[in-house]
Amino acid sequence: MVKYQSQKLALPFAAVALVLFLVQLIAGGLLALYYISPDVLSGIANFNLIRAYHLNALIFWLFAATFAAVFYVTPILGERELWGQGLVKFLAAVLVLVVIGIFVTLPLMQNGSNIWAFNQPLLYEGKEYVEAGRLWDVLVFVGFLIVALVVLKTLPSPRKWPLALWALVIGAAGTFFLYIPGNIFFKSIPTSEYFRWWTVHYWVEGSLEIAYAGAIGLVLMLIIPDPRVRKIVDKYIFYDVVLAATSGIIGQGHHYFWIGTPTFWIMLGGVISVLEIVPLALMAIESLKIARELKQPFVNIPSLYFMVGILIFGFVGVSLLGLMQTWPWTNWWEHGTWVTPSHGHECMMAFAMGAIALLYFALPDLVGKPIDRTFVDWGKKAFWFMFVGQVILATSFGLAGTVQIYHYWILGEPWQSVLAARFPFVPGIIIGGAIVFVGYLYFAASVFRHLLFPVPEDPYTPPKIEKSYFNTFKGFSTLVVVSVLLSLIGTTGLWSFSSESVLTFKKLWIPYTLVAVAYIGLAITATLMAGKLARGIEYGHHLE
Amino acid sequence: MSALMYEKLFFSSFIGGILVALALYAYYARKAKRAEAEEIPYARLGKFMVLFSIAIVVILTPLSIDMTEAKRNPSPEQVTYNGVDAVEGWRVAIDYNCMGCHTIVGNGAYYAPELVYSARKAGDADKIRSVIDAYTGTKFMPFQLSDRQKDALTAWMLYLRDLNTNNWPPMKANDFSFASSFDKNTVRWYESFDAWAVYWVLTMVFTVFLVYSFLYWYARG
Ligand code: HEC
Repeated sequence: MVKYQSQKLALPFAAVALVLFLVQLIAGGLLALYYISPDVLSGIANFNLIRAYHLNALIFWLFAATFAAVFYVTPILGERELWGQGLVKFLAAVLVLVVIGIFVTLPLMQNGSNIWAFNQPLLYEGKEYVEAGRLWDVLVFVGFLIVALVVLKTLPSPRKWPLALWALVIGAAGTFFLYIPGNIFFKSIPTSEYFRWWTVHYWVEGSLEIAYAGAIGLVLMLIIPDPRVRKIVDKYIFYDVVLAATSGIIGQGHHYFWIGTPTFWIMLGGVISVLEIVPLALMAIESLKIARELKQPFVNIPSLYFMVGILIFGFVGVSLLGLMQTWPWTNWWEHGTWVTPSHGHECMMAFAMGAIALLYFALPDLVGKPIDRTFVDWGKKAFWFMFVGQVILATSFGLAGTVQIYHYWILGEPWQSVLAARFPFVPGIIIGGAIVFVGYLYFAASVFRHLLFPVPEDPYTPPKIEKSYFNTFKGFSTLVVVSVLLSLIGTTGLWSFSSESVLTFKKLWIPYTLVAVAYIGLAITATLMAGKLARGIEYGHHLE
Repeated sequence: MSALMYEKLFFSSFIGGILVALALYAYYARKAKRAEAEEIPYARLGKFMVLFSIAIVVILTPLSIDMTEAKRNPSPEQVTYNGVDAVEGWRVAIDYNCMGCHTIVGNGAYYAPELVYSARKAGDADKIRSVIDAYTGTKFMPFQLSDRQKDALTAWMLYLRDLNTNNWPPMKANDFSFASSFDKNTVRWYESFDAWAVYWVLTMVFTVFLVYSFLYWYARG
């Protein structure tokens, strides 16, 4: 059972997260339906409405899960009950209200019935990622204030906070403040887009990354209450944050190549965003070292798997798929095509997995039930379905986008032909999405089972299994290097669209083969790396 | 000519930075062997680099968004069609969330054509207007627009057409290259290749810092 009753206040937030995640997946499925048949929903729920649901459900379930984690760990760290429990309950109500409010007002976009005041849109904002209306933004602000107040009051002496907690709190606060610039209406498109990326990019490369680095750190510290671990974690978080920030803050410039902003971004944004792979590559290698340092078996296996998921999607999806398309010479071709969402979906899945890892971590403790065999089985299945599904989906997007580059930019075909050229890859996206959905079902089922049903008392212990390539760390660093090489092959592939061979002699096999090798190769190395790391720790092969 | 210049500046800084970092690291490692190396004050250096990056973005922001005299892009108030300006068009575009189906300067959803590209392909205002006419109310865009709204959107798409997007999207008209008209796209002095010297040094500094940090932390674990 939990040590502090107020930790249970995390549960309503977890429930909101679970529901919104479902909404996000269903919306994703309906978006795919539009590519099969654009007639079915047209006029009832237009593509842009469903897409706004897809994005806003994601944003708000990540918020909800982060809040849940904060309310779960704060009492442990402060060694006392939460301050202001009434406020926390109020916050839960506000969150539900905001989510319902957003979902009810978004459909107004279908006939353009917005309200404007002071030169700002009020009911919804009509830009990607920041669709939600101004009233809801204000309430979100109140929500973040409440979280900040509760944390500060419960843990009165910030000087004693571990760095990991700082990271979590700064990350959460930053996430809110960065939400502001994207929301403001600017008359000029370059200005509008310039600041919208402050929201979107600085979330992914900044605040969310910092928050989740902090969350992983806290989880490690809670599992192993050894002062040495706190030291390792502190150091780890410090340089992770520093390197991510120095590369990410100016790396922003890769969004400023073609939006009407000056040419200097092509130099600054180009070089420095390439270097964004440094912190994540280091994190992937470093996590291996930390894993080797763990001198005891890891008990909460589902949480472990999802933490590994953050790392691998962070490294392969965020960094390497990002690297392929961040060079000005490749970004020039891929910008505005389906190559972009291949990277985007893996990035977002990294954060989603972070949230799931936290929920899984807190759950057994919150409901006071052991981690039994079924919980672990379903948790692992949830991970593998989500991981593999998302990899298939992202790979399909990447390949389809590459074909789109040729048909849309080089041949300048009309849109229906472009859709037709992308169409062969749509089944991959749908199958990938369906597999992710099965993963969600396992996830939700394991959560409900633990919440509602009795669980056998004997805790899960991993069986002894034969050591092999697939469940030890052997050769992990080689895979890291191979992955980097694969992404450079992909870079060459996208770049080759500029060459005479493609432009004049139409040797399409060059870009297509290189890009296919890169995407499919990275799908394989990502899966191998995830398996080796997660299973290696699960079966305790690092202990000998 | 200038296409080559882009690549030269870009890669010389990038590869140069990596080489300098390697050399520094080799030097440090030799010292460390003889136990003469000092602990690198990472706590201070790291905080400095973070603040430095923030400062750069703060300085470059007003230079990036047309706040100075020489404007890269047309003013949306001044682009009009039938007496309605592009600002009003942008508002209509927000009200109907065009970005949830289309991309605009490459950002948004990929369900429908890129609007800068469409505007450039269409060419003139009347053509743009007729394309908007053709699609509103169809199953692709199932909503109705008033004449004034369509005029506003036409003005807005004219504005999009004339944005200085460094040649993007790739078209035959720009030789499928972002470097083919660098001089035309370089509106202000701080974008020119002369000023790129400064950015060259900056990227070099960041490359050295990040690559060196990677080696340093990797070796020390
Ligand atoms: C529900 C999704 C959706 C929304 C919202 C939407 N569009 Fe479209 N639009 C489409 C689709 C799909 C097409 C392409 C149809 C085709 O060519 O097959 C299209 C085509 C166009 C075209 C013609 C492009 C070309 O190159 O032929 C223009 C111009 C256009 N839309 C402008 C707009 C504007 C301006 C808005 C905002 C007021 C908007 N659209 C909102 C889906 C949408």
